[in-house]
Amino acid sequence: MRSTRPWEHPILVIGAMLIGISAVAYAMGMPMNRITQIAIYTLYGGGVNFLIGYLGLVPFGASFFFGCASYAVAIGAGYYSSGNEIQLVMLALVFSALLALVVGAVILRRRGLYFSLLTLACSQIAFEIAFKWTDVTGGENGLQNVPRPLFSSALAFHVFTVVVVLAILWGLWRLAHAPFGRVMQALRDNEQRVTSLGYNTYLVKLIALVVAGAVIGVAGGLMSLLLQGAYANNLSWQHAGDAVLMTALGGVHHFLGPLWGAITFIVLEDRLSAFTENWWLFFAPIIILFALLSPEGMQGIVQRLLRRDRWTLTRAGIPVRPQQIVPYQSSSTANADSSPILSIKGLSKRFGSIVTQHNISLDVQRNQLHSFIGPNGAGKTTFFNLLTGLLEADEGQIVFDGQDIGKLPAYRRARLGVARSFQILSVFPNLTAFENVRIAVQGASGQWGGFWRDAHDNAADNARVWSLLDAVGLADRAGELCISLAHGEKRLLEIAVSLGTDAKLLLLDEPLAGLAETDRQVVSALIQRLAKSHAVLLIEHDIDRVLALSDRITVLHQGRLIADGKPNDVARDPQVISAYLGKGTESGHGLPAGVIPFNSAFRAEAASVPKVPLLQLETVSAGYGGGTVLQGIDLMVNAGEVVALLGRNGVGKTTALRTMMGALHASSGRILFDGVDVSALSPDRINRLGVSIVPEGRRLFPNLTLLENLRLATRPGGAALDEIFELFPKLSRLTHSRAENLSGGERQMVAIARALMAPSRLILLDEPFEGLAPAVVQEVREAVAKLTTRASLVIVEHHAEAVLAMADRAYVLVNGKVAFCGSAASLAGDHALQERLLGIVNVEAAGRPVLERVS
Amino acid sequence: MLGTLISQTANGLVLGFVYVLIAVGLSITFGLLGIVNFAHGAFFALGAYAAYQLVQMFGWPAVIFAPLLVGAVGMVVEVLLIRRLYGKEPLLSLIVTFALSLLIEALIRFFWGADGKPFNAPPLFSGVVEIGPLLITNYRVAVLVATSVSLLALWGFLSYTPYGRILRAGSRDPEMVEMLGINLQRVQTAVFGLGCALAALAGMLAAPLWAVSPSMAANAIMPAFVVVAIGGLGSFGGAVVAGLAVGVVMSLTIQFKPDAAAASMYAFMFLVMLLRPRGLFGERWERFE
Repeated sequence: MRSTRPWEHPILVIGAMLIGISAVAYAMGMPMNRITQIAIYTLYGGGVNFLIGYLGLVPFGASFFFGCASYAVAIGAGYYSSGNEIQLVMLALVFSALLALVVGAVILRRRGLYFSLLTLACSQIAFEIAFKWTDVTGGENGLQNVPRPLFSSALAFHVFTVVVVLAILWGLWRLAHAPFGRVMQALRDNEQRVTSLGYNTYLVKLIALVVAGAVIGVAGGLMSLLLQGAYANNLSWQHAGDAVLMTALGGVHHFLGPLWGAITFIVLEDRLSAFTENWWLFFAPIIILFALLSPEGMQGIVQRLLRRDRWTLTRAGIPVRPQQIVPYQSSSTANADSSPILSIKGLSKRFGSIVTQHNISLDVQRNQLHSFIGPNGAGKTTFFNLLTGLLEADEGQIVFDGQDIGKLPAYRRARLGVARSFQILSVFPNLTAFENVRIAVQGASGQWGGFWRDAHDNAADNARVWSLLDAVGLADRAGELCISLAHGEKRLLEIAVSLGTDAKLLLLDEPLAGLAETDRQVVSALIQRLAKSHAVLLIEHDIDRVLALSDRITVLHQGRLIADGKPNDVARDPQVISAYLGKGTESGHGLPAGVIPFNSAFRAEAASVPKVPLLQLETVSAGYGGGTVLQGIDLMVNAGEVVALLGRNGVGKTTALRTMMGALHASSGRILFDGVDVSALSPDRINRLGVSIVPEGRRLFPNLTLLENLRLATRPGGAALDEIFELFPKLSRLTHSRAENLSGGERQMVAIARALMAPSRLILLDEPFEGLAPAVVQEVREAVAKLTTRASLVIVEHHAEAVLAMADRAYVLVNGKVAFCGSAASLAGDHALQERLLGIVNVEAAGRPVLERVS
Repeated sequence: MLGTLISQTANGLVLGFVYVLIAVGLSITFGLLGIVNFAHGAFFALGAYAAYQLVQMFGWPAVIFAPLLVGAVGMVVEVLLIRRLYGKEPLLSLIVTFALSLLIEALIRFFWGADGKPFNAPPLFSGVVEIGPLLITNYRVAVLVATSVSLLALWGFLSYTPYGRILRAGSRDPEMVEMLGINLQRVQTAVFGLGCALAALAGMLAAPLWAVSPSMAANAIMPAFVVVAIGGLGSFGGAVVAGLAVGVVMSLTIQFKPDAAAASMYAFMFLVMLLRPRGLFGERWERFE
């Protein structure tokens, strides 16, 4: 760790600034009180920012601690008349710490906005008490005559204050680098992740609030000593936000932020109030401008000018990389213990009428790669949530390494050795890669570790972190901030973080999601290595990889366990095949006679028009949060066509539809509708051009009635209500039911009807048959068939059978690329191809390459 | 004794209705825009001052334009300022709207001075009404009628007009509303303007009851938060029930133990937020938890 140069150490900077300003004021004969006030407000802001910048909580009513402490000092001085300044400051500290403990224990159960509002309520209750309880608090006039025996002159008290402020801020600076402070910062970035690493986050927040409360209280006490009295106006609503505004102005992500904020605040108040009482007239616009233009505050501007645009809450830099990095070795070595590491019996969970887990029982062996697969909605992530403790099961038993963990909270299960990575990337964005892993290692080696020594001084932990980073190939990127890493690197980092907890059981939830092919190979190889020394449970949709790598596969479908065993056996299991391809589980594939639209006038007319494609995607790539889901796809829909878009889960079908609809912007490529480039248009404009969507999950507005849902979408040129009720007679009886009370099938029909209420030339349907009972599927299929006479369709499905009979052409996506593009009939006839692209077939056994373009 | 109790309860209902009007504007803004508008109280004050100014310049009938003017100001503020806050972290909107409220208060001080303005009820409504033990001023009755009518009109607007439908749908799934061809930006501007107009209407009605002074903003925003927190963020019905409850509790406490009145309101809010953090009728807003 490079040593900090003197002008970079924030305490020295604060000291130098305060002394400098004091000297200037002294020389110019200005009252020293103002500078003392700057020092006090710097401390006030420092305490507030301890919560905002380091913990991510905004105590909007922090004046509560400030004001109460000032009254405590004033009242205390009244009772204990021989008290001196040092004793009174101690009183303020202890009083505020206790107050924060009591209040925090109660309000920390709430987060975010509710926490802020509760602190505001506290400050207003305190204001009312201070203002009205005249006997004790002096009411409107406040209290006077707080003694200052030791430091009676302004200069003496000023020196005392500066010393106290610097000492406490130095304590905060050390705390920020200590293990406790580091956990706080990780918590700010991602509380759920910190819990999954074994930390008791409620306790962390409570201790942080006590510290912050104590610091703010000392500032309040100093204030009452400065004024030699205590007054209620600091608690009023207008002043409640002072400290937060001040700190934000200076920069909440910088240790020095409160200093700049305090100086600006006090100096401007002083200067401006000399010629107007209305000084907020000038100050408020400054705050607003800063908040919008430079969210990182004044310090942020300076950082940008110095080209060192980073947060300065802690020292920059990471521990020095060792000459020789010790290769990673899991401390849970491959042992001969043949007992299962995890034993699940009769696990069940339901959400209302939806059963996500039905009586699941299985044993997980040690040191194996055990994969979980299943069609969409099979309940795999919910299953992981039940195992890790984020959800509680309704029935069943979970025994981990001989211990029943079913009732333990999440952080306790993590401490026992259950580690997990998340489907949606879950790391600490504002910490370095090194720090990300180090937090996990710290969690494994000893939760608190301390409040004083720098966490980076722990050589043993550091060595482990380097080993882990090296194991995932990120040793060279250790010093980079997590947000600067590529998506693939972040996935690798996440795995390193999960390993850092020294877990015996690793639950990896779609670790390959959003990764390009080369990254998938790297991550897969890592997972394979890990399986030799850990029990690894894997959820993945990249079926080819899963089949190639796993020692054992379990298949979940509609909450039930339908197959479990070696990859080859599972791949051939008829139940599994039908679950994926949909054969035989639904009644009546193919359309009832007479509804086949091929002869309709609409389609015949469209077919005779020269073929400018209605919709065209040209090498479109798109993804979420930095990852890529679609990798340069070409897709075309002609007027009057029905196009099926098929593929297993996670390949990018919904992403493709969202990109077509404009809800997601393509990162590269072009989208043309009727020859016009619509790539940059917002969804409402694209809808008005004639593209409607029937989204996954229907997305009706639950608080509106059926009729209102339809009316909302109505535009001139769309279908009339009579037509709709002719197409969907069942709906005419439900017009005044709220959408949330409709059944799944009814909702699907309303969603389809809604797409017709506006003039649509292209309708996108995302999994229209999902989650519906077989009888209802038939009804919906007829409804969709009726659509084919009115508009061109793109239908996304993962059950090919259901859709190919009514489609003209089909595309099949595999891992974000187009693997098949051709006539629906040819795909429908080629069962082997269907199985290869949509089902689960062991590719290597079949002896053919995966991605083969067939046209 | 009974007479005092009944009259004070009646006064409490009047106060409650004013609170409801303020809170409903806040709730609507929050529901669609996801922003907690700390400047809401400042628009309340602006409504009172606008009414004062219009009466001074054009006489009593002109007072109707006060909410409309303030609503227009609100829309301008939305375009210039508020729309930059959507989707950003809550701290940012906290800071900007709080600073905005202090700015508006300072502007009021600048144009109208820091002293209170005398604003008496219109001569049409002077005098009192006596119904048995109940004694209430004519103006208060007028306020009762005016707020009830406004709230009913608002409810009707939300429930029966296309625009109201968009608002209700948008508070659940704004993205889907966009995918149905509706320009969300314009809706957002209008909603913010509506929220401000409602606050201004409340300010105008309350002006003869409370002192018209720059600090009246604080006396509106804190009760508004309390009502919304108790009733539930985003809930119209919750705001009505909570507003009336708070109004009556406040009025009765003022009668019997005046010093504890304001504090009791906060204690009530504190309690509710601890036991049912989403309020009595509130829904789950993940981004704020």
